[in-house]
Amino acid sequence: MTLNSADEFSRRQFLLNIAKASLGVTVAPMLGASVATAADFVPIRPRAAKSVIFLMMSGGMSHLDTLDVMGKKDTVLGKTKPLATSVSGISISENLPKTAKQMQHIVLFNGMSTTQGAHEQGQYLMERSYIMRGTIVHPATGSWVVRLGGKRNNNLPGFVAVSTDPNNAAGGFMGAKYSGVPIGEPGEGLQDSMKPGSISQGDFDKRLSLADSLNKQFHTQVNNSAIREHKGLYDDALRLMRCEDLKAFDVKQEPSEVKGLYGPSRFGQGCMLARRLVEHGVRYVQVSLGGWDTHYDNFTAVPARAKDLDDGLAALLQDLHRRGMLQDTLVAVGTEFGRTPEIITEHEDGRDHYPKAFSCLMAGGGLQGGRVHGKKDDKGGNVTDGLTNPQDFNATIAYSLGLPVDQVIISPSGRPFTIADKGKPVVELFS
Amino acid sequence: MSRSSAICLSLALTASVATAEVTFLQVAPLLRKSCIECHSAPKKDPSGKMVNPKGGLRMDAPSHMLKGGSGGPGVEPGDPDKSLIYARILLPPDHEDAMPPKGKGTPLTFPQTELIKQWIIEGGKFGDWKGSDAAATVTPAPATTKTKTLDPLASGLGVPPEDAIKKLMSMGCVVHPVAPDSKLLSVAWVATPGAVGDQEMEFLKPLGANISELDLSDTKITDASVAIIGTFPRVTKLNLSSTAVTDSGIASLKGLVNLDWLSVHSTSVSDASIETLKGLRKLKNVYLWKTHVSSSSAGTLQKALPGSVVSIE
Amino acid sequence: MTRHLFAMKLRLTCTTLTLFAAATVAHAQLAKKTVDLGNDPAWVKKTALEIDKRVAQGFAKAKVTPIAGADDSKWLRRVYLDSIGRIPSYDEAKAFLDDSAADKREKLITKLLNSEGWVSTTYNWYADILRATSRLGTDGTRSGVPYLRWLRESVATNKPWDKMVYELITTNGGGWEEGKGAVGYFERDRGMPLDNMANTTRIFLGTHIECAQCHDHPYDTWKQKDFYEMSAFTHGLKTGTPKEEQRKYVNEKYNGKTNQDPDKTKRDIYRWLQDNIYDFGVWGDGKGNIMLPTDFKGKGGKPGDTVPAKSIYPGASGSKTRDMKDAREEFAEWVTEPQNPRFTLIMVNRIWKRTMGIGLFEPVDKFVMPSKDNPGTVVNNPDVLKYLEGMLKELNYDVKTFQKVLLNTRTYALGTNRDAVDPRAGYAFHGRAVKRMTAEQVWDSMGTLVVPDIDYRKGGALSPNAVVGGRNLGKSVYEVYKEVINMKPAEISAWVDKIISYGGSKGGGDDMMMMDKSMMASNDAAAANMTDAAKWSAYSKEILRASELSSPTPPQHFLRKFGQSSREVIEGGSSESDVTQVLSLINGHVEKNIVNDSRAVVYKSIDAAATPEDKVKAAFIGILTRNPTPAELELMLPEAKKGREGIKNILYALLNSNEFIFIL
Repeated sequence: MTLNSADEFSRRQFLLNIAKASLGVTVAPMLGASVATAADFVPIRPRAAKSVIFLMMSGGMSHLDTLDVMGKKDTVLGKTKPLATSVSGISISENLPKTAKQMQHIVLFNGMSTTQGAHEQGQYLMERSYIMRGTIVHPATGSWVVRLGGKRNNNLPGFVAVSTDPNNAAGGFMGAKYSGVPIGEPGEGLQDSMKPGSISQGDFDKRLSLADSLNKQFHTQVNNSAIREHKGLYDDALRLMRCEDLKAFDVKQEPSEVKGLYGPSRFGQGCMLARRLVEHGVRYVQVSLGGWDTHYDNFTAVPARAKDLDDGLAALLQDLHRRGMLQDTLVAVGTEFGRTPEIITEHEDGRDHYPKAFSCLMAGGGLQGGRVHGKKDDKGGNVTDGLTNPQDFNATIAYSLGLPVDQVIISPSGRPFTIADKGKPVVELFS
Repeated sequence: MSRSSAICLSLALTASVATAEVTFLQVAPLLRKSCIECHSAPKKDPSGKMVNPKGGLRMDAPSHMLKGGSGGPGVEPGDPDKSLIYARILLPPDHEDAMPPKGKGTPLTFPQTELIKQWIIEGGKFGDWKGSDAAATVTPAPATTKTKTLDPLASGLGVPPEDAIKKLMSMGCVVHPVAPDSKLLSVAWVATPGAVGDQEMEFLKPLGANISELDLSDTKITDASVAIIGTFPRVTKLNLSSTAVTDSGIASLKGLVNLDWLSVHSTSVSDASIETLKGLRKLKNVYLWKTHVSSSSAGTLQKALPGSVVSIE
Repeated sequence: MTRHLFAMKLRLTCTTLTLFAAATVAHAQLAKKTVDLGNDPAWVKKTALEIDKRVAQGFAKAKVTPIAGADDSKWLRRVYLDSIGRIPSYDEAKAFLDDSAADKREKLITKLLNSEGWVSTTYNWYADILRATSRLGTDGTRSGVPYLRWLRESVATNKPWDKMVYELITTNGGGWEEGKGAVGYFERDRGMPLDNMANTTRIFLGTHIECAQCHDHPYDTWKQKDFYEMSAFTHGLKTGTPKEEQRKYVNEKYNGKTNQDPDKTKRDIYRWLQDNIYDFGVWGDGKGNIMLPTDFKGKGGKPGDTVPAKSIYPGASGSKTRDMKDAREEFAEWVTEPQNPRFTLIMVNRIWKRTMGIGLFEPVDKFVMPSKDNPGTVVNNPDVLKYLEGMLKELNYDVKTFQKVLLNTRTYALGTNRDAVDPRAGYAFHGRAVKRMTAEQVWDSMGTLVVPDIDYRKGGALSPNAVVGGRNLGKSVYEVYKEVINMKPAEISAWVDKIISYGGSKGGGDDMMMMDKSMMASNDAAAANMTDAAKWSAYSKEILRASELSSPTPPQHFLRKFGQSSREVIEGGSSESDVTQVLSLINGHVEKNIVNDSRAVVYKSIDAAATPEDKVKAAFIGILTRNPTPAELELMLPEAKKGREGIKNILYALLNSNEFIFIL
C-alpha cells in the first residue's frame, strides 16, 4: 500500500477540520475524499445494495410495445406480439427476447403513473423526484445517493452519467461536487485524466515542482483554507492519475467475449462501462438511451430502440449475476412517461405521450425477481393496481440501498428536501 | 413584523448578533419544553401500554441524542443539516414530519431554532449534563426486527476496536456495521485492491470476530490469507473472486458454518472443493463462473445444499 | 422621476402631450447630470472620500486596523479583474507600471469602465442575476438571443438599472420584434408565472417569498396570501403573440393530425415560424387580481377567492372586482421607485460585492427585517449602506458611475487580508479578502494570454442571423419578423415555398458581420472589430470572452467545470475548487490551448526579450502582473536558458500556481 497512506488520511482530516472551522468554505473536490465516505454511512437494513445502475429511456418508452403486453387487447398492441419469459405466467413484448430470458431477476413495474406529460418535466420528476420549479434546482437521484450514502471508493467519482445530458445529472442545490461526472462516449474515459502527450514525464514533474516552489512563497503571504484546499487538490489529481482504479473507465480492457455480449451499440457499451464502474465502487451510474419519442412510425422505431435496450440490459443482468454482483447492484430501467394505447394512423401508426400509465422495471439489489408489481386495464390506459409514481420508484431505489428516505437535507435557501420527496418504497418486493 | 417603514429599516441596519459560544444550558430549556415529552425512555401510558420514543429518538441523554432515531443522528456535532433535531424543527408547520407536531410541545421561534443550530455548529457539546446516561443501567434501545435476525450471531460479541476500523478505512477499505446498532461488520476492499496482498491481513485480524461480510475480490491475496479468514467465525458472506485462491484455500474455510454466500468466480478453484462446500450447510448462493468446477459438480453441490443456487455462468 | 411621468402618460390619455414633453426634457437633464457627475473628478473624489470616512468609522467599532495599501501590481491586477473581468495583458501591465503620473489609477479606472471589457463582464454579471440563457423555457425551444442582445445593448449604453427593470416587467411585444428583447424575462419562465414572481421578488427586492407559494412562511412573515397578492400584478399576462390564427395554422402544418405538410423541410420551417414568430413574445396586461388555487391553505383566504393585487411593502394595489389594464406598469413603477424600501438597497449591495468582494450583507438577495421571530439581516456597516443608497438614487441608477466611485475609494485600494474571511460573520472591509477567480475570470484571463485584443473578438452566440430550414437567409430574424408577422395563412404558405426554392447558402453561419454597432460600447470599437477580424483568423474559434459564448456554455465546458452558473437559478455560480478543475489545469486547457499554442500572444513579449532574465520577467508580468522576486528569478533562470521548452515549463508553472487563480 503506497497510495493510501495513513498520512494521507490525516491530511484529509486536517483539511476537513479546517474547512469546518472556517464556515465560509466548503471542501469540495469532486473526486476527492471530502464528500462523505461510506464509512460514515450505515445502511438501514442488512445486505442492502451497494450500487445502482439506472438505465434511462428518454423520450417516453412505449409500455405496450415493451414491458406491458399481458392481457392487452390486440387493438392497443397493434403489430406488437407477446413473448413468454423464463418465468411462467409472465410475458413481455417480443421486442425484448433476451430480456425475457432474464425475467427471473426482474420485477416489472406495470403500475407506473406520472403527472408530467412533457419530456423535460417528466424526466426531471423521474430523475429527481420533484416537480420542476423556476426557483430551485433539485439534485438528481445519484447526487442524493452520494450525499446520503457516501462514496465507496474515494479515488473515483460517486456518481457517473454515461451518454446522459449532464443537465439531467446535476447536483442542483447540493452543488457541482454532487453532480454526475459526464462520460459522453463509453470508450472515451475520464476527461483530462491522462498527462498530455506533448509534455515529457520529466518536464511534467519539473513544471509541477516549479509551481510548488511558487506556491510555498505565496502561502507565506496568505493564510486561507480555500487556497490550501486548492493546493491539496493537486495531490488528489496526481494521485488519481496514478491510481489503478482509473482502469474502471477503460472498457478496452474487457475481453471480446464480454464486449460481444453487450452488443455494439453505444448504449450496450455504456452498460458494460457501468458494470466496470460499479465493480470499482461507484455508487450510482446512469446510462441513457434516447429516441423513444415515437410519435411517428412507432412499430418501426420501437423495435430498433428495443434492440439496444435488450442487448444491453440482458447482458448486464447476466454479467452481474455470474459475477455475484446482482444482489449488491440494483438495475433500474426508467422513462419519463408511456405512450398512448391509441395508435395514430395519420402519423404512420405513431403513439403520443401518455403520462397516466406506463411501465418501468428493476432487477437485483435484493429484490425478489420474477414478479410483476402493479397492473393496468386491458387497454393499458389506466392503472388498476399497485399505483407507483416516480417518487415511489425512487424511494424503492433508496430503500434497496439502505438509505433513509426520511432524512431531510436543507437547501442553501433554507428549504427542506428528501431523497424521493414523499415517495413510499415498495418494501414487499424485497422479501 | 410591520410592513416596510423607514423606522424598521433603520432598526435592521443596526441590529447585530452576539457571538459568544452557545452552551447546552441555553438549549436545554427549549428541548424540555418542545421535545422531551415524546422523546424519552420507553414508558407506560396510563392504560399500562408501553410507549416507545417517537421515531426511535430519545433526547434524555447525550448518548441517545448522538445516536438518534430511525431518521438519522439526533445531533451530528458541527453539522446541523444532518442533525435530526434541527432538520425537523425547521420544517414548515404543515409538513407531516414537522416538529414539534401540532398540539404537542411548544413550537420554536426562529431565534430559538437559530440558537439550536449555532449550538450544533459549535460542536453540540453537552457540558456536564449526563441525563439518563447517569443511571446505573442504560436501557438498551429496542432492536428492530431487521437486526434481530442477526442478533444470535452477534451474541457475546464485543464492540469492534475503533482504531482498527480507522486504520483500515485510511487504506481505502470500506468498513461499516451491517445495520444500525450491529456489532457485526461489513468489510470491503474497494479502492486499489491490486495493492492489497497477504500482508494486509494483519489489519483485518483485530476485527476477525466481528466480520460478517468480507469482500476481497480483485486483491492479490493467496491461500495464506484465506486460511486466516477461515478463523473468522461470523463470516456469512465472502467474496474471493479474481484472487489467487485455490482448492487448498477453500479447504481452510470448512469452519465457516455461518457462510451463506460465496463467490470464487475467476479463480482456479476446481471440483476438489465441492466436498468442502457441501459441508457448509447454510450456503445459499455460490458463484463458480470461470473456475475449474464442472457443471455436473456444480449441479451436485446445488442438490446437496437445499434451497441453494449454484451459478456457473 | 422621468419614468414615473412616463407611466402616468400611459394612463392619462388627454393631457399626454404636455406631460410627455416635460418628461423628455426631465430625462435629458437627469441623464446629463449623471454623466457630468461621473466625469467630474472632484465629485468622484469627494464622494469616494465620504465612503472611506464611513468605512473607517467601522474600523474602530470592529477594533481592527486597516491593512496598508496595495502596491501598483496588486492593485492593477485587482482592478482589471473587478472591472473588466480579466488580467491585464503584458502590454497593458507594462504601460501602467511604467507610468509615473500621479493620477494614473484614476485614469485607468475611467479607461477600463469605458472599454468593451466592462461591457463583457457586466453582461455576465447581469445574465447570472437575471438567469438569461441562450435557450428559453424548460424545453429550450425559444431563442434567448434577442433577450441577451437586449441585455448586452442595455449594458453597452449603460442603461440605468431602474429603467432596465421597468422594461423587463412591462415590455409587450414579439420575441424577435426590434427593441422588445426584454420580453425574454417572462418567456424565460413560460408556464411558470408564480415561480417567475418569486424570482422577481428575490432579484429586485431581496425578499424570499417562494416558500409562501405553497404555505404560510414558517419564520418570515410572508403568508401564502401575500404571495398571491403579489402574483396578481402579472396575472393575465400571456406568452406568445395575439396572432392566434397564424399560430394555429403553422402548428397544424408541422404537427397537425389532418393538415400536416408531407415535406419534412417544410414542417421544420413551419415549426421555426411558430417558435420564433407567432408563438414567441409577451402580450396582455396584468389584471391586478387573481383567484386563490384549489389547494390554498394559508390564512386570510380560501380556495376560489379572488384577491386584488397588493404589494408586500405598501405602495401598489389592484382591484378585486375590476380588471386593471396596467397592473404590470403599476407594479413595475412600485418596484423601481426610489421610495421602495428594497429596490435601491439590494442593487447597492450587489455592486458593492462585485467591487469589494464581499457584500455589506450576505446573501445579497436576502434581506430580512428584524421581528419577534427573527433577528433580521446583519449589516456590516449600516452607515455605508445608507450613504450608498442615497448615492445610487442621486446617480439616477447609473451603475457604471456608481462602480467608478467605489473603485476610486481608498477602501478598494487597501492591502490584502492574509486571513480567510467568512462573509456571514461580519466584515469591516479593513483589507481585501482573498477570493478565487470566478469561472469567467479564469477563462477570460487565460484567453488574454492567447488571443490579441480578445475583448473585441466576437463569436456567433448573439448573432440574429436567420437560419431557417437549413438555409441561411442572409438577413436577421428581426427582419423576418417584420416581414411575416402580419401575413395571412395563404401568404405564410407562399413564404415557406419561397424559402424552399430560395435555397440560400446552406448551413449555420455565425456571421459576425451581423453584429450591429449598437452592441458595441463605441463606434470606434465596432470599426476596429470589422477591420481586425483578420488578425484573429489564426486562433482557435473557441477562445472568446465568456460573454461571446452560449449562455450558459454546455455542461462539459471549461467554464462550467470552474463553476459558471447554469443560469437556471439566480446567481448560481460557484468558486469552489474541485479535482476535475485541477485535471483540466494540468492535463487539459492550459497545455492544449495556451502553452502548446506557439501563436499565443503571451509568447510575443517573451520572445522579444533579449536575455533569459528579461524573458522570465516578461512571463511573470504577463501572467502574474508583477516582477519575479530574486529567488523566483533564480528558480526560473535555468528553464529560461533552455529555450522554448524551458519557457513552456515556466508558463505552465505560473498558470498552475495558486497565485494565478486567487485574487489578492
